[in-house]
Amino acid sequence: MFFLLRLDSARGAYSSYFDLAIGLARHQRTGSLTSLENFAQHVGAKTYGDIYGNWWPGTIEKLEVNILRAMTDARYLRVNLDGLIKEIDQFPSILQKGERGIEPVEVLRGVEMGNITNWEIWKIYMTEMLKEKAVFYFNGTPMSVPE
Amino acid sequence: MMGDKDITQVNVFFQNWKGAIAIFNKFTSSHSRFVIELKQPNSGEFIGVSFSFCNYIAGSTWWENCDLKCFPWKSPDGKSGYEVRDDRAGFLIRGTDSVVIGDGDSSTVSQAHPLKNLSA
Repeated sequence: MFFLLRLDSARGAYSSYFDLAIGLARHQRTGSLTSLENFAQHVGAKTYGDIYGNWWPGTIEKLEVNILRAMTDARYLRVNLDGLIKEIDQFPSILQKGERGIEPVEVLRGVEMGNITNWEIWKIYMTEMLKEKAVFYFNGTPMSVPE
Repeated sequence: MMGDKDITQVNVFFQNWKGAIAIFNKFTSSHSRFVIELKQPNSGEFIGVSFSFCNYIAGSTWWENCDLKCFPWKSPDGKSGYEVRDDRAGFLIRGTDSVVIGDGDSSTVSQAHPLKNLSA
């Protein structure tokens, strides 16, 4: 068992006893790809990139599997809602979008909208074991989301 | 193909979005179509600008305070097209078909009518 765990570690996969940061990668005000990393630092969590060593595993199917694996093994899921909604009572809109799947599903005003973070939050919300260990943050503060 | 009037209309649109954040959104090999997202940093309002039959793209994948300008351009084989530049950001795109603003519905962009060629 110990040997297998070390093999995993050598492949850049996984270490246990971590909190997983979830949220938009791109900062909504500047466009820079630092938003999730900043949030992760703020809450003392790891990002997908920290855990797997890179952000893109080659296919969306592998990405989905990797995300679910990290979510399952994380101690807490620290979810940043900033940039996804403007008010906390808009939380159900994230679930509605997330239910459509991990791939981009809509084009608004000529822009293809990504859906990974919406899907992650929907998955957490719909999976009791994940929901129990999720902490939602809005404007940097932990808060409860509408049931 | 874009005429002088089309170029002017695109420039009116770009002037209205001067100062926005620009983000590469998508490239599709079909129609060699490239989409850039413009986003207002404070309001979060956004719109896509689609460049079809583009044959050259250079620049950062995102930048702040954009200042895009559109010019007429001729391809090496003599086709008329567009060249869009943000000189300060180092962004440049050239193509021979059209620039479409948003989803092509003029009601969404009152001051800059979309420019469409009805290619298949």
